[in-house]
Amino acid sequence: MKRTRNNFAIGGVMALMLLGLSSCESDTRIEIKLGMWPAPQLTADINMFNIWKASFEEDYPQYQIVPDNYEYAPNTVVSKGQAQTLPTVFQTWFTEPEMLVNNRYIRDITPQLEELNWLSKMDTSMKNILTKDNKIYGVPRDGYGLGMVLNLKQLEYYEILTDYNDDGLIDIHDELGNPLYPTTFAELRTWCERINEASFGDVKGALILAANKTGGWQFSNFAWNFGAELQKINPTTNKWEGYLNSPEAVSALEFIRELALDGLLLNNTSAVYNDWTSFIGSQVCTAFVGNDIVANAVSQGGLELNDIAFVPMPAGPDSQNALFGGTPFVFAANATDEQVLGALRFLEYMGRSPSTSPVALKALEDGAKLSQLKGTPILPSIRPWINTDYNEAVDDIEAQYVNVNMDYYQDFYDTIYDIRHDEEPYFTQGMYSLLDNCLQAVLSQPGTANSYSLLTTANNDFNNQYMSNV
Amino acid sequence: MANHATKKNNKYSWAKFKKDFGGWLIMLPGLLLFAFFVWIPLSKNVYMSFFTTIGFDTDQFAGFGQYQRVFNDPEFINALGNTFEYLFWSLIIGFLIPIFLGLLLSETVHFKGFFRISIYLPAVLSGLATSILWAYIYDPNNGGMLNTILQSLGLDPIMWTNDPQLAIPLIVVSMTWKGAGATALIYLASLQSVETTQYEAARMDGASLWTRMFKITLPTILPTISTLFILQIISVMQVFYEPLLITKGSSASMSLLLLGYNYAFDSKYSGTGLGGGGYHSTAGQSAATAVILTIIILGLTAAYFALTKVITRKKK
Amino acid sequence: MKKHFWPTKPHQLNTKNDGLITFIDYKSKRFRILYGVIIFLLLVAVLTALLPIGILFLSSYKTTLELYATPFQFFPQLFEFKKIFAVWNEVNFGKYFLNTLIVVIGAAFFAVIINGLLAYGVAIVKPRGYRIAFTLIMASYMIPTVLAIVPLYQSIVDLRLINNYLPLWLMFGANAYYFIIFKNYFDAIPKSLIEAARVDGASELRIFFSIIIPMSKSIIGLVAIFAVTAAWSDFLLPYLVLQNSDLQTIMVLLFLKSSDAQFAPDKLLMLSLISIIPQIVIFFVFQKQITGSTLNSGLKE
Repeated sequence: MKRTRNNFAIGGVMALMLLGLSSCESDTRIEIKLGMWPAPQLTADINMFNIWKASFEEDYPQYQIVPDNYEYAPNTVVSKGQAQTLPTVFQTWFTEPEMLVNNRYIRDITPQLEELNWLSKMDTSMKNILTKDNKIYGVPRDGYGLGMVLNLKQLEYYEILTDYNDDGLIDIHDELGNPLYPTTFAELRTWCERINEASFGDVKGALILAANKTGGWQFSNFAWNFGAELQKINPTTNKWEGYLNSPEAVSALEFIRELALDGLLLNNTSAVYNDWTSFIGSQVCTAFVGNDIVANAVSQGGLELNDIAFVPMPAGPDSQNALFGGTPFVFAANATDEQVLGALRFLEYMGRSPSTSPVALKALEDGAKLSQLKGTPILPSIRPWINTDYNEAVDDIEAQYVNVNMDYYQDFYDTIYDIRHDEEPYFTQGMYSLLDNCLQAVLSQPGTANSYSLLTTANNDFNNQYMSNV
Repeated sequence: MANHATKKNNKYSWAKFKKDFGGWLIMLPGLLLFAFFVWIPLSKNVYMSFFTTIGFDTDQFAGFGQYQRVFNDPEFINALGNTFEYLFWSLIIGFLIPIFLGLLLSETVHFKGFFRISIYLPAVLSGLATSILWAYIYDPNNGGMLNTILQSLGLDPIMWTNDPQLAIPLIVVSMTWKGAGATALIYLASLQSVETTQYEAARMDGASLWTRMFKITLPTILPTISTLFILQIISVMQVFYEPLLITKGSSASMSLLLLGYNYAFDSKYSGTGLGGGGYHSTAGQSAATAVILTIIILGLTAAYFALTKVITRKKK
Repeated sequence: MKKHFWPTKPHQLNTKNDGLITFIDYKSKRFRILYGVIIFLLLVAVLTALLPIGILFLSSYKTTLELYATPFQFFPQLFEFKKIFAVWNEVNFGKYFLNTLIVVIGAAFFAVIINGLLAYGVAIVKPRGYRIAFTLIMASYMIPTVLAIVPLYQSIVDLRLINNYLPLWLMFGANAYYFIIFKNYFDAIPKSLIEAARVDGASELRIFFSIIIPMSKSIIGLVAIFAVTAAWSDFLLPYLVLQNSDLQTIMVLLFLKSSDAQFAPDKLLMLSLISIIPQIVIFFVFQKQITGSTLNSGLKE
């Protein structure tokens, strides 16, 4: 009896040791941490990523995909960058790569892009933004252009727009195809007046942001349309300078101030970009957003698929421009060449590469199907790759899955490639921050705010603090 | 005679050496930790403030360049003014209340324990959680608690923390709410050290309540008042969490310490640091800000000691 | 002894013999009214102190719409007690709670041992040159950790202690406030006791563990409670050091959610409430020690 019990004990201990040893066995696969892994509450998205992950790891057993969700923000990237805990690959904004490179937080991936032969297929404008000293630091994910989203239901309620041909859809063009929505800022102002009057001040015509740099971001677009050049080379000193207080910029700010003075804007100076989905439902009729998140009006704002339209940014007295931005994928400075290569290959399995292999196409379809599942609008995208086979494939998918009334969107896509305007090149986030202050002052005290002096202060601060370094 | 003395000295030395060595050894862990967490980082800050930086590493010697840069930065001037404004309001709103509460507490005989516990409670709660609460109360949008109340009464909403004039006083109110109770108990302890006999003697001399208070009570607790005064100054000059959490770092509420933190940890400043070429970070600027703040605090403390010395000398 | 808030003996104003106003004064009606005013003012103070906490509690149970609704209602319409569990599960609070426990227990441990040893050295052993150590420690009382966060962070990165609890624990071992508490307490220990042990040949370390610690139980408990409360609330260093969400503490979670626009305001308030409940509990259990301590610790400059 005792002997069997002892044997049992020895056997048990050995089994435990083996178990311990086997779990101690280090994973020799190359780890790729994905910053673009969906946030924990987006279960459907996570399922989709898990499918891609499984498929990828099967085809490339030397890699291991590790979720490492990171939503980029300027005030979190420094602590992660210094500690070198940034994910292998993560998304950021087009205004950031220069700063990230200078701080040594991201690395050059040109050799890997050459190996995969993606360089020639990248949209040239986006490639330029990602290039420094002939080295490429990222891969564009998508581009977005700013436009104006319309809440058609509200506009119909206040009798600004109607369904005059009785086809069940509110019309934004007249019989001749001319737009019934504002195509200039002057027309926008008239709309605001009509909406304000019709709603007795409950609902406003436009949402002007002023916080968390999103105010300045939008304002730069307005300023361009009034003819302003916010940053350019000073001909006498041959150095880049800010011109935030040029007469054109002042006109743009004055336009907003006058809207506020006449009570045509919301009494809210802390709204940030992501808030638009809650405001578009009941408090404003239009908002200025990027085409990449128009769908959020349905998924987060609770509106119906055909309640919204998306039209080009109105023209100003000078010109019509739409702010063009986007998100690139960038790669942590301490990522090895193999990790970078693996991450790039995974992009193919996400449908974010110029490849048209079966996996890539499947991923594109997966994404479209997910949007279908969520009931969100599926819109054409602004593409980062220019190779024909890619574009044909995406055209096909869009033809299959785009589920909105293109009448509401066609004008935007027809014009965006012509009116796109890149964001200002230097210290953009800082510039936006300073412009925020001007907007806040103008929105909260339109009666006493002096647009010129506000912008001059911002401009001086900008040149002293930031531009003196260029 | 000499022999005896040296023998005694030797014995004394060896035993004492053992004791000294042992003593330092015992203190070693603590000293190492203080060095790692306090002394070394502070020294590094001073060192770093004289250099240009890339990331958090020093690059080139820059003399007082970082300090010049900081003083030329309107954000710094703003934060400097704000920090002194915090001091001003905290002394006005928050300094006398605990003394007053302590006095009241010392004079009650009923429910003393209940009062003590209740007013102390805010001090033990997490500052982050209470700041979130105050952010909700003060929220300048229509959804904030105070604004909802105002609107229910048919009044217009007030901009509360968005109003540059109100932001700092409001924050000071929340800081006072949090700390007044704990400070009041310190005064209570001090008040209870006044001897009854003194009051009796004064009463026999026919002194009124006011006289008793000003001639006996206040002088006795004056040392406590004085100490807490300088401690409050030191503490308020370092305000950091409240502007970060209640007003999310708005420029109306930005404090020096928070600005110093932002210089280092907010990438919007990246590339604007001293040194040009787009490469230099603002970590050096952050260090300079920290050093300036330290000097201000030390200066105020020194001024306080000098002042108290003059006053006590005058009294004599 | 049962603990209650009211005095066990009915104190009458007629027998009050201490303080500014005594029973002699209370013979006159004027002073009795004054006493009423005193009590009233204290009640106002209590209300002011407790009201925001009550607001937090009630607001947590409202829905987001209710929070913004006019006219303002104090009480939530639907008091669903289960909401605590809903929010708890949604953010996976249990994990953060466990992590916070790990942090505070470690913090309390190091706070007591390290600061205690330091104070022992300065108060009892007094090796040659101890004054230098004392001055340096007191100097750090005036300058907070936050000022030096940048070099400290870099040191932690260089030592590869990111995503490690060790820096958070050890930070509490370098705390001038706890040091002062211990030092004041040790200063009051009769030297004869120590001398006797030394004569018996005990080493200083042995004296510390076998004599000082057993007789300092109450002060150890006090420092431990303070450390637990402070470590529970601590946010900056945990936020910077704990980047892996599996390791993060409650305060880090709270901060992340407070800057997350997607997280509803009512849930945020509820989360804040849940985060401070343990602190309230600890306070009520140990309130005697905590409020009594301010009478003992004093303030030596």
